[in-house]
Parts: sequence; C-alpha cells; structure tokens
Amino acid sequence: MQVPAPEAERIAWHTITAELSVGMLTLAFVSVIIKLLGVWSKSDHPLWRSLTWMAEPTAYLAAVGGLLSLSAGVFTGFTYTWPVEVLLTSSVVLNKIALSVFALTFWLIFVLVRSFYGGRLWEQAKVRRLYVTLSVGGFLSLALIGSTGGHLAGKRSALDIVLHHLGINTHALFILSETAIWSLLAVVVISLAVALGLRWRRDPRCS
Amino acid sequence: MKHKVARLLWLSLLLVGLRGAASAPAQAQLPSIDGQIAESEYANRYLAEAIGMELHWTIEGEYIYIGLRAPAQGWVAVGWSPTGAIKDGADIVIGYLRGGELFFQDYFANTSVSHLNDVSLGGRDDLLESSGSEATGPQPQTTIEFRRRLDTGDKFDRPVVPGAQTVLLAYSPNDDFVTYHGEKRTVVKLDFFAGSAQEAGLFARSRALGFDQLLQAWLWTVLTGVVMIIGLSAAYLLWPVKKL
Repeated sequence: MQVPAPEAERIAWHTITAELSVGMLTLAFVSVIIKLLGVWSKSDHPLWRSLTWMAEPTAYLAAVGGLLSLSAGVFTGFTYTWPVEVLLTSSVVLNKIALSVFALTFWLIFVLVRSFYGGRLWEQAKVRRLYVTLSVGGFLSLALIGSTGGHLAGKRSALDIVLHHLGINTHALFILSETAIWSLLAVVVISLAVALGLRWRRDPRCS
Repeated sequence: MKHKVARLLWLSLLLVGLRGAASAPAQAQLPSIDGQIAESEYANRYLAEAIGMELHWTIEGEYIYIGLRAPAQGWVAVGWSPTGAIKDGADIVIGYLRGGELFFQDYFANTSVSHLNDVSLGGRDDLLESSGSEATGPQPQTTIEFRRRLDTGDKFDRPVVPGAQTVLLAYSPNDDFVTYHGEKRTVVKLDFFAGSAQEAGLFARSRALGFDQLLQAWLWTVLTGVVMIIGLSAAYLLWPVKKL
C-alpha cells in the first residue's frame, strides 16, 4: 500500500477548510440577499414567505460556521501549505492573507451585529443597511481570496477579466502610501468623534 | 554503357555511404530522447546529493538535451535563471508520468512561489521532444528527457547562456504540476557550457533588498483596512438617527 505524501496531506487540509468557508459564507451572503428581498417584496406567497423566514437564521448560522472555517483556513494556510519563509516572500500570498484578514473582519462584525441586535435588526433600516453592507464586503473579499488562490494553484481566475477592468492587480503587493494610511485613519477617527459628538448633543446622558 | 551506369550507381552509393558514416559518430554522441538515461549518454552530469536528483545535459549546436532523474514517482522539474526572490521569473519545465503517459509542460514562474504554463500566459510551449519512464518498487524513480533550443525567443523562457546560471531542481511524489515539493528542492550555480556546478542550498537568494520595508508597509495597509472596517461600522452605528 502506498503511503500518501506528507505534502499532499497538508495541502488537502487547507483546501478542505478553505472550501468550507467559501461554501458557508456564500450561503450566508445569499441568505442575506434573500432576506433583504423579502423585506422589500410585498409578496404573500407562502413559499416566498417561508424562504425569507428561514433565510434570516440561515445567514447567521452559516456566517458563524463560515467564520470558524475561515479562521481554520488561515491557520492551515500558515501551517499546512508552504513554509512561512516562503509564504512571506510572495506578493500574491501576502495579498491573499490581507484579503483573508479583511474578510474575517467583515464577517466577525456581521456576526457581532446579529448577536447584539438579534433577528429584529431587519426592522431597523439603519442596522439592516450595515448588516447587508458587511455581508457584501465579506463576500467580495471572499471572491478575491478565491481568485488569488487560483493564481497560487498555478491556474487562472474567472475574475481576471473583471479585476483587469477594475484596475486591480492581485500580483502587485497591496500597499498604501504613508499619506494615504494617515488620511484614512484620520477619516475613521473624525467619523467616530463626530458620531459621538452628535450623539452627545442629542442626548448628553448617552455619554 | 552498361558498365558506365553501374559504375556511376556504385559511386553514388559509395558517396552516400561515406556521408552517412561521417555523420554517424556525431549522431551517436547525441542523447536519444527515449525516457532512459544510459551511462555516458550525456556529456555532463550533476547529482544534487542533498535530494538525490540527477541532471544530465548535452549542448549540441543551438539545442540543449536535458535528462532528469529523481528517486520518486511524481513530478520532476528543472528551472533556471530566476530574476526575483526564490523562483520568481524562472523558466521552468515540469513533467510527470501517469499510466505510462508523459505529462510535460513549459512553465514560467510568475511569482516567487507560483508558476503558470507559457501558453496560458500568451507564450509558447518550446519543448521540442520529450520522453519519460518510471520505475516502481522499493526504489521508485522518474526519468524525463527533453530537447529545446538554447534560446527559444519566447519572453516566458530564459536562454541557456555561457557562464554560471542559477538552476533549480525539484521533485515531488505527486503526479501533478502544482503540489509543493517540500524539502525536495535545491538550487545550484551551474555553467551549462563549461559543465561546472556548485550547490547553493535551498533558496536562490535572500529576500530582495528592501523587502522588510515592504512587509512593514503591507502590515500597516492591512491594519488600516481593519481599523477602517471596524471604525466606520462603529461610527455608523453611533451616528444618531434623525427623529421624525
């Protein structure tokens, strides 16, 4: 009996966890879209109503599962594929890591928002908008992760044409200039300060 | 008249025979691309002792004949002249046998850790002829031979030139074009024309100059992205809703 090669065994672990996260998070994203359409739609069709009713908890549970498998995917990516020294010399790998971190952040906030507000978040337009935006951000990051993964596997990506037209090159290291970094951080700080200020002005007890 | 024709015929045969005999020794020196590497078949041989892989080669005119032999049943590869870190920019040739059939392609290392075949990049497959064989049993072995031009003219190929070139040798026990080789990889400084070789170790060169600064900038970029996602989400939630 032929003993499987250790390298192949390792890479399969990363593939399994990566496929799991893609499947679950795509399900979460699709469920969010179905639920959103359910909010907008006036249809009373029983099938549509039950579908939109089931989409809400499905999105949440799939996101939790996807978040866990995405974390496992990051772990197996570091430990079961190539040596870290090799990984850190590739701009494509570094870009994939960056996109994975962004996807993790999007889906983590998505899960936190749902855990905090519960299923009633759909009744609040503001929270609903954030919830949908987070799922879109998470899904787009996921698609880009898959695209860079395709390049690393020695294949091409179906997204190549789209990315080319958008001017996104997943082979060039994602780096912002120092000015851009400080400007973006300033935008975040100012947004938070203004939001808190407005909130305090509206109701000083909130502070 | 009859004698004259017979003499002419005899003379022609003699000339053809002599011509054949003159070229025969040169032909005999060229390796035959038959998937078997015989003793002294190639003019040069290099054994990468660290991984037990053999590289054989002969340069004849504008062609190079290469034979690879590795102690495993899986893919076998040779690459040369990377222009960046690890294998980035190297011309790579990978082959494996499955069910007795040889799968063999001309590749280009599009990043330091990945490669794409030349055709998919818009280039050509410049391997002129190739053959391979496998040995099973307690001592598995994969042998692949091929011939190509020293300079193919394809922008996804690197020419074989006089002087030391960085040559990458690797193999894996898997039959595909992408499975990671693990430790079954070595780098050698090799002069194909002079036949001299010097093993350089696992990596062709250390990280490119300024890589640490790039890595630091990348980390800041990732951190900024994370702070933006969290910060803007929080700011949005904190923003008071207009009371109607």
